[in-house]
Amino acid sequence: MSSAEVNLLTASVKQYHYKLKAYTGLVNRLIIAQMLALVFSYVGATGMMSSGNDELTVTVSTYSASMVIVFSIFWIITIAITLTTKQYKKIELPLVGTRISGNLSDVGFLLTASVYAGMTSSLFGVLLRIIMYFTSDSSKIVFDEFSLAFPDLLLGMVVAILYMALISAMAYCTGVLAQVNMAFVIIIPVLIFGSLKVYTNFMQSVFKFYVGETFLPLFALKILFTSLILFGISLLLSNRMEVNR
Amino acid sequence: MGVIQCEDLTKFYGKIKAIDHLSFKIEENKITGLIGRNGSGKTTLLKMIAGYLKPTSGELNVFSGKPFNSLAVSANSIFIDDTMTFPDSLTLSDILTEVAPFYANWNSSLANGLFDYYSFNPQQPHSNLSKGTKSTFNSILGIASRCPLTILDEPTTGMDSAVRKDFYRALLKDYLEYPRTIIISSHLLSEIEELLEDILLINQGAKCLHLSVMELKELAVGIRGNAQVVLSFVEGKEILYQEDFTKGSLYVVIRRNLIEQQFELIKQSGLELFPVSTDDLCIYLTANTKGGIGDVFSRG
Amino acid sequence: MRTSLVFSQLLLLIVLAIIFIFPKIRQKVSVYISWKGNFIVAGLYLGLLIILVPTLYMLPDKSFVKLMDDKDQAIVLSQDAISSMYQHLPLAVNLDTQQGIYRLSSQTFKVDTKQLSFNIDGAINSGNHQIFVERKDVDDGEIEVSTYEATQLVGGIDFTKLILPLTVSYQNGTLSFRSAGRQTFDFRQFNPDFTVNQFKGQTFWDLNRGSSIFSGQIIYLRVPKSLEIDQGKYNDYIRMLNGETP
Repeated sequence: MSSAEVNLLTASVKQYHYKLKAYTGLVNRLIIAQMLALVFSYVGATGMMSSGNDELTVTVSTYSASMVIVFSIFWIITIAITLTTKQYKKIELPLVGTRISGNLSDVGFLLTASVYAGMTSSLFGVLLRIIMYFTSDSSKIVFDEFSLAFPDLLLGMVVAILYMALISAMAYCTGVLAQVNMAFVIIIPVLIFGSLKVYTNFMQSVFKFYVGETFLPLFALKILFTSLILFGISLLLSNRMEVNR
Repeated sequence: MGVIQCEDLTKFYGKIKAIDHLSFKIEENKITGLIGRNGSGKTTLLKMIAGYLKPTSGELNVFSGKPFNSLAVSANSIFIDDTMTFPDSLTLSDILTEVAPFYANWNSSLANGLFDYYSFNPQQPHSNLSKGTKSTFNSILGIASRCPLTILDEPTTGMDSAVRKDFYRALLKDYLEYPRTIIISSHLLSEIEELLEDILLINQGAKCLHLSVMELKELAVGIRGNAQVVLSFVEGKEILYQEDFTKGSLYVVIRRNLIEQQFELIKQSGLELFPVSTDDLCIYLTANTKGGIGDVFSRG
Repeated sequence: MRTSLVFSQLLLLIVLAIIFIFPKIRQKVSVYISWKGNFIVAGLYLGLLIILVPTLYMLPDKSFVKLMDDKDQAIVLSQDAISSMYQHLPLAVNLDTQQGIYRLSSQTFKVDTKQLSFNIDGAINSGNHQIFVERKDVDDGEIEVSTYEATQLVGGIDFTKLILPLTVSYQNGTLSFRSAGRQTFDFRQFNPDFTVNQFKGQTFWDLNRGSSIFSGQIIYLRVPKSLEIDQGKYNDYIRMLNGETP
């Protein structure tokens, strides 16, 4: 009788391919979320400045596709949490692998989803501009940011992808904690909101640690490092868990 | 060298004991039936062997390694039951092609042959299948994966008898062609005893019996006749089962080796001797009370 | 501020509803799309969005509004020019060449009487505008009326040139000014997404882009040397250059 030798990486890669096919349907939800965000971005300007005197009224409406990115972040949060649920973990059972390969393939899928969501949501800035071009008088459109510079588009994509990766790591870790003990479902939000209230300064500096970083390589490093830690914690936690109880 | 070696294995779910100091050994390339009543711990035991659950205490070795969360065990075993889930974005034919790369010995011509034989709709998602067809489909995976250790937990749930017979034949044929260690848990022992070599009977998490089917068939004997006469023979011996009939007639089941010398005497006394079916015997062996359900109604 | 808060909460609710209700609906309808179908959808979606990028760059440049490059300097210059008009009589600068000041209109009227009086429409009687009167060296019988506007900014958008000048008419020795009517400008500006802003030295919590500068129009009259000027009740709005006091 031959005994099959498998290494962890091969098993993880196979599971990743399997999951990519299994979960592609989740893209539909992203598309709907982004379309919805596009409508909101178009109808409701993110910023509005109105000035005037009794003879003049000048309104400057500011538009951006930030809402699409935010909605896509919501999407990736739900995806990351969904992946940790028992229902989704059961999909791994007929496949060769361990908890580690299951987690690694989840991480792989989440990173793929981050890249996809980061790219598409950043491209919505382009779509929004084109729609605006055709629906409103161009003499009202301010050219400066309308002519989205290509390097900015790429920068936006990279940053969006990095944010998605970070947030998916956070959500995945939360999901795993919730699987370890349901109490975490309550503890984590209480902890976050509690520390927001009590340690406002500390939380702000944590927030600024990422959002306030203006040097891209350092920002990427911070994000990758944090995501790695969060995914690592998730992996260690779930490695001891039983499945399919 | 046994494929599965189990020593003093215990499993608790919180405070509930599911497996109670179980010890056994399953040899390579044998088909073993895991028999037990509902809630006796069959599924728990199989999931520990498959590496899904962690033993609370005791030793469990599969392919001479601990199975829990083990890649080697996962690569060399498959666990088939009716709760297997597959994503809806994969059709049945997709599942066969997508699962195949995971299993080194996968026989796709066999898988496709069985798939066509049962005339599945290749475009259907797994979750849409009825209970019986789901079991049938899962059994294809179990057979075609040709894993050195194939674990089938209640594989025939919901199947009609024609499909069940086909499944048993397919399993046996492929086993003969490609021997491997197979564990089938079932409560329909009468149907699968032709297939099995060994039987592991567990009751309330503890081992009751572990012997070959031939031995089990010969294990006990039933005696029927006048109550007083029957009792005179079995007095003081362990009675596995006892049932009162009308007109002072009594039926008892007793281990053959306790009474073998007295067979001639029993026949002369006008009592009848019956072989006991393995199915019935397992029920008697795992019964909590000696009387069976009839006692509930004959009280008072 | 409050409405935007309500709006964002509403949004969150809608998103949650979609995330939780949509899969349930899908289960009920039980439309199963195979992975190949989903892959095609995902690929097409991304592909379409990518195609939009060259499309955006190929859009013909219509008359876009362009932001002022150096708005701070323009503001300073125009303010200087105006204050010099108040302080340094007579006018030291040439309004037509002064940076930060645009000419909106220019008209010439033939003088028909010896006296000039004014009539300013009630709608513009708000102290927004100033009338400067300069006597020419000659009696050429012509009144030259020019309207100017100092740089007008809202969030970096210079809309000075879009402003309609006051309507000026002259009849029977009376120069009348009427408002061009209430003007409304509606500009649409794009902001980089917060992901880009972060690396452009702007974080998404401070997005206010400079201040608004409003000022009234400057009406500059050049009148014949000996024309008599009757300021009437518009004493506050009319300033005589050449150091003359009425």
